[in-house]
Amino acid sequence: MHELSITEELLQIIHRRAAEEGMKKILRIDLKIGKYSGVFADALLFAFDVLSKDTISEGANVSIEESVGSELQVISFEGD
Amino acid sequence: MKVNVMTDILQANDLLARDIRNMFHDRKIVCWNVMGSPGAGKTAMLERLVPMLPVKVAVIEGDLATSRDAERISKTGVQSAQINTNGACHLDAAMVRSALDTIELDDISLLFIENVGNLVCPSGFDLGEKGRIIVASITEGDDKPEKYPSMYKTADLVVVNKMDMQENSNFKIENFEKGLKTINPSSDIVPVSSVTGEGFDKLLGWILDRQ
Repeated sequence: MHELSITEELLQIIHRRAAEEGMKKILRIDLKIGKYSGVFADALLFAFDVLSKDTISEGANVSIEESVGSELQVISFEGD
Repeated sequence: MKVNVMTDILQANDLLARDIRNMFHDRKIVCWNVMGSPGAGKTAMLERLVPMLPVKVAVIEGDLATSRDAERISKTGVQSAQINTNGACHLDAAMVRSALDTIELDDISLLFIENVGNLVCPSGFDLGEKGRIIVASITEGDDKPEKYPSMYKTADLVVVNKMDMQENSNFKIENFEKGLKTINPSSDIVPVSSVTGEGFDKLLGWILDRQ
């Protein structure tokens, strides 16, 4: 649940780091989502498509690793 | 170029909650996050409990809409603040931080935050509280702890309300206790009736023991 606000936080974290690194385009994002986090990958990907429009993350490949706990983490991202 | 981040996405709430918790500690304010289903009796419990307390209290009320609950609390003579989430199903630390700015904190040593009525979402959001009180009512049935484990496993106290309706109910407190123990062996339970006052001396004692 709350995939929309989670995606907003996610984009804020990535865009802040990207600005620090002088990056202009995000190509790939790696996330780890725990089975018991209550977050659904499909809903998050949908929210990502909506919220990343017209940002440097638009079109990025979002890769989600499912883990056993309740964590919700940005592992890394790639871009230019 | 690859950037390693290794960051918890919900950290923003956790960091703010930590700051709030530190502030409560410095000011010696004990704060309880009160949660439960809509209509369980969270506000009614606070309306009866607040006038019994020998310490200075304030209450923050959280609802999607209206200031009805804050107004009810105001009638007891203590400071109350209303948060309207305008659609959000839970309170978060940022909302609490804003509400705290409207309360004279120098005057109080105890704060209750009444969360949005919801047995799911609020459990995931740290508000900086010392602990959590869940208000359950017998009219919800005695099987809810096992059906809502993510909420019930975080409780320090479960207040079982509406005991005045026991006669007309299939609710069995032994079943409720058994279910709660499988999810949360360390939570206390206090059966009460906000209508008759039954159990409120025990509830008052529980709060003051932790003040």
